[in-house]
Amino acid sequence: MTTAQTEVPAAADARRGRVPGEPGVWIMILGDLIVFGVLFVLFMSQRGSDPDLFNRSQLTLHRAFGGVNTLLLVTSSLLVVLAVGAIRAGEKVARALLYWALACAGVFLVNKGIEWNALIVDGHGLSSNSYFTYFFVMTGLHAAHVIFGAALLIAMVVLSGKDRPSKPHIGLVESFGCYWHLIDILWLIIFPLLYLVH
Amino acid sequence: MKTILSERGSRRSTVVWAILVAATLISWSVGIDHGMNYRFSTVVVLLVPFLKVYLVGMNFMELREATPVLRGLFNCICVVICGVLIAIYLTTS
Repeated sequence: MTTAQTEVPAAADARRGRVPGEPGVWIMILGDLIVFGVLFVLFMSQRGSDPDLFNRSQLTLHRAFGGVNTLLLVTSSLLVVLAVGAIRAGEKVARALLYWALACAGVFLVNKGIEWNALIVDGHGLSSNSYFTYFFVMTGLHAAHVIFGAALLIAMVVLSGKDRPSKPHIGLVESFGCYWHLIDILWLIIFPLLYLVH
Repeated sequence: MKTILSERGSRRSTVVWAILVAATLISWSVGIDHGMNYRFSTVVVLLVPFLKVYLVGMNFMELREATPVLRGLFNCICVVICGVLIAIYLTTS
């Protein structure tokens, strides 16, 4: 049995029963989840008062944008998981994994920009109707999270240079990683709500 | 790269990623296919993302190994949001 194989279960046992990353980050993550949760519930309630308007408005969207963006964020999440593992192990491959995750974030934002531009050219905006108000607010807030998350990924790239990362160093990396997964989680719910619920 | 991808945790994450991709494609096709009862298909479309959220939380965010309080809080928030969304949908459509 190699050293790597014996270290993996031991490392997993050491992580059992703890808080991944910094505890303060979890207050932010759970708080964000609740704030977006309230927004999702408000959207669904508003939809209930005029389902026809919401269904008609939804049909003007290009679902491919939402679907492709979901696949991009899910893939970026996997890359971040692998990068966190590599940083813990002091492996240089972490940097390449994070660059690919950043590329996913970049393509996500470009897609979002193209989609917004197409909708605005077609005459849809924040004040067109209540569906588009929620659409632009939800996707705009989420895009702002993606930009902030991308900045944290860049910070992870900087932190990934060390051969023997310290415990606080790993804590930071895990925190940034968890924040990135929150961005993935929020989009996993936003996609069906805005694009698929009929 | 070889070392990272051969670790047990990384293999599990890759399997979870494959499930997430498959679930996304399924809910995407269910959302487009109007041959099904639309109320049933919408409930499926609302449930699947929360199953994906559970998988991301437990595996990618490492909540499976985390303290039960944190895991419980995360799961509670997700169950409440999912339950309220489905209840509102079923009572208003």
